[in-house]
Amino acid sequence: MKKILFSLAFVLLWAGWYFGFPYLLVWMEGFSFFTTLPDYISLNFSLPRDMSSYVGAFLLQFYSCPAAGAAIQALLPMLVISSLAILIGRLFKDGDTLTWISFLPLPVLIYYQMKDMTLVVSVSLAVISLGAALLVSLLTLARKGFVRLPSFFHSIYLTLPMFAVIVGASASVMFDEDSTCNRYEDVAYLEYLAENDEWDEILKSVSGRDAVANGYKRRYALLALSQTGDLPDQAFRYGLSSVEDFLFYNEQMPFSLNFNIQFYRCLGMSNLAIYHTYQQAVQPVYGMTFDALRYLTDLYLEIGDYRLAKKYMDILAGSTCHGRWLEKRQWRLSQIKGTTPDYSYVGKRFTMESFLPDMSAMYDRYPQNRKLADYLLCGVLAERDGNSFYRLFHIISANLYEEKGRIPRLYQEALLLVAGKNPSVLQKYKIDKDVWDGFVDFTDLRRSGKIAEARNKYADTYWAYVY
Amino acid sequence: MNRLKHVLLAGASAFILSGCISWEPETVSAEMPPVFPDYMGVTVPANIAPLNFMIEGASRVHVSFLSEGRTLLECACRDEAVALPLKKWKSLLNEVKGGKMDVEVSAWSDRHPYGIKYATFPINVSDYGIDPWVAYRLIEPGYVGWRQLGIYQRDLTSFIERAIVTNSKSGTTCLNCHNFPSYSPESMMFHARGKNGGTVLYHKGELRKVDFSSIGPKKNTTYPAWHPDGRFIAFSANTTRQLFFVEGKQPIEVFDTASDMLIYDVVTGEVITDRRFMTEEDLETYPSWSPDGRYLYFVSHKAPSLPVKFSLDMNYDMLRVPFDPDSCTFGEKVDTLYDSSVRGGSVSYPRVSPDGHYLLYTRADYGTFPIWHDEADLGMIDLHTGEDVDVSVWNEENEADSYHSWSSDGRWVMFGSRRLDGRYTRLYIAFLDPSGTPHKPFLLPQKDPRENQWRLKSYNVPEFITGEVDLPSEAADLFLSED
Repeated sequence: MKKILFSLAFVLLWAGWYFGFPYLLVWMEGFSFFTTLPDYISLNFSLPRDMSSYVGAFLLQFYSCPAAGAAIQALLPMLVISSLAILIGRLFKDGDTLTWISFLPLPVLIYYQMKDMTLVVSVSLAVISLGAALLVSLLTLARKGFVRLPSFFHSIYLTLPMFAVIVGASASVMFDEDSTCNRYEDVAYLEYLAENDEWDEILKSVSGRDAVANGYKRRYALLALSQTGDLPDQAFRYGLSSVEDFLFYNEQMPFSLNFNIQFYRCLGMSNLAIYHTYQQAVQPVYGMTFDALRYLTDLYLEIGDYRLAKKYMDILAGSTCHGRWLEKRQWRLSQIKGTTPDYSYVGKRFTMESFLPDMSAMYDRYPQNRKLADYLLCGVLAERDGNSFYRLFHIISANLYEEKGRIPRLYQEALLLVAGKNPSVLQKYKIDKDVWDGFVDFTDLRRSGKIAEARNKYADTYWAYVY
Repeated sequence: MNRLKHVLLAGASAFILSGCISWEPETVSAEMPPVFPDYMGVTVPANIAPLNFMIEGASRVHVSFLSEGRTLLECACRDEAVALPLKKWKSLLNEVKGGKMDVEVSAWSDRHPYGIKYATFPINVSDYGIDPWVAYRLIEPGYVGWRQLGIYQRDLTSFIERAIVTNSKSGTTCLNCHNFPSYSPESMMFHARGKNGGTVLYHKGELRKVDFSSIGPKKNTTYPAWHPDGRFIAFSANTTRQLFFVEGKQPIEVFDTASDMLIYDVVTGEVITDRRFMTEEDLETYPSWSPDGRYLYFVSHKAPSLPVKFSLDMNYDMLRVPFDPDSCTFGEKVDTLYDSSVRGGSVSYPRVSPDGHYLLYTRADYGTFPIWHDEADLGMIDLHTGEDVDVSVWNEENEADSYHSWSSDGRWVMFGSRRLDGRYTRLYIAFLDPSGTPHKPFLLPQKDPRENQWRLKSYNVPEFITGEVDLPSEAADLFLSED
């Protein structure tokens, strides 16, 4: 019975982690760092005080494979439970039939595990409980089982229901929607999709309502729209309400920094991607993360900077699980050996300021880049600045939209509003019939005082956003 | 059981035979060996740590150190990196001191499976030793945030590196600008930035924290220069900003929007100012004392308008002003030693050699933070003649060469350079012989030469010290914070 309960608990825990948090497990690996290189211990850890942190970092390497990560996540609380089972077995008479008592702390262990991204708490608890079990085992070598409990506690009719209750309680802790892990899992999934350029998947998994309610989902959805070219058609559907919805400003949370890295990567602004990567790297106690090392390696391979790409690859080679990852990049590394890195830029150098000036400066240099143009124009629309929009659109449209035939829907909607003061706009730009009809209908509803109805009916339009 | 016996026998045979691998290379080449770090033709101190090196991709390396035809030290390594034994290295240096040794390297690799013996190269061993310790800060290379950060000291005669003080107890406190009076490890100062921060002073066995924002002109102090007598510390008080370039190789620009200069009297706790160095238009920074303490050197930029904004015309001149330690007053006359409007560029970090003969500085195209400038190079002025001394051998084209300090005897210069990978500052040591000729610099030796590449921190503000600093552990409690 004891073996069955332990096996069952392990399998259930493994399944909970594996099926419930596969992307979070991968993310945990990315946010950790372990290497056998000399500086790692001397600069980051004060042993033995930080032993749990060190062991945690070692174990987190294996989380890049969710099945292995889930197994470790299941194993750590099971070590505590097993230790308790040993304690009970040594202290209580017929302790083997009291196994269910050792499972009692499981919901609490899971509660702490859900917040323990570095495994420090989990490893510490496992080590302490194993130590306690060993100590008690030694102390009770001569005599064991000196505490007696009434026979009721030994009954299988108590064991099975109690085990079921504990498993239920553990599951409710694990899958509590407000738990850190559940919130992180959603974002980790989006991060995973973005890293793999699966933009349509992001748009499938994030609804407009989700995007309005959740800042991460909103930003990933807007980034996905930009990547698919649909930003100027659907930006307001996904809750755009300010230029700050495009990026995270002055936030040092790892998820925020990871988003910013993806944002700048997508725009080909490698300096700012590198900037946010370094910022992400210094968040955990290790002073570096696997994610940051991998981003930096790929960025420098792309730039053709052999020295830095090799440096980061050499450091990754000091970890346990990067053999294949590095092997895939060796060819590229050998290709750039002896070449000059491409740090070229167009025009005068400029420094990062805030969203609109940055996009404007970048568009100035790369006028054929539609993503930059859309961020700039949608950013101005988000600021409800129709006049600036029209001035910019006048310059940008000749390059990007007029030749391609169709003006994106939100721009058409904005042009119709601008046309109220400047009717010549309508002679310059072609407005689709359905947009025109919608605008007439929206205006009629507004004029007849049915503002709420107008906003509901045309919820995702620029008109609804402005009025 | 039989199978196990065979396996054990095979293992034992392999172990024994591995000791019999030939160390005689098949090919003899006139090529120079591709050793890293480049120690070819360098001049090293008579007490320097072993010059461990590597040949990338080699599976075995054999090295012999010869002098006058005699082999003084041999070492064979089954790795690409050579680890020389410390004791034997020390006796080798003792024998060759004041002369030259030839280094003969053979390597075995995929390219040369039967070995190649390269042409020998010389290493000169100076009569002069080097100060045994150097203190520096280890920090991530730039950007806004950091995590683990500390001021460390390294024994230059071995590979021992110890922390002097770190922020491990206080989260993300920034520690910077460590300084010592006259190379003495008995006194030390550094700033701790952040909650509960201040300037930590350790002098004559007394440890204290000074909050400059609440005394004198209430300015936060930045770059220090401890007077050789130990009584005064000159500080610049800078308001520093960072800019991030969106494109191009240089990622960051650091500049000041304000900087003044003041003197702190360590004995009385008073802050002494001079109105000339407290104006908004003149941005004085990087103070540095002459060895006799009678002059204060610094650099200064006159802002064309206020408020000060970053521009590519932010050029700093190098100036000096007399100082009377008895009355603690500055003299009237301010000399210009480097006039950027005439000579172009912008200079930083004036440092006078201990004999007062040379003035070493860093020159960049503009600005006051040359470590992020690829064009930044060291420059030197002969203070006896006022002429420039050619130190181009110390510089690497298109890579930042920057913060420098003199050894206490003035024969060695240590400076930071990003020549290794363009981003992480590493320390280089260079010899200046008594005739004033600069010699080829070499990378700070490491136990494993690959540590130069593996280390994820930059070396910052290397300062020679004549012994090991023993800062009381309570120093870290002075800026203890949970943040």
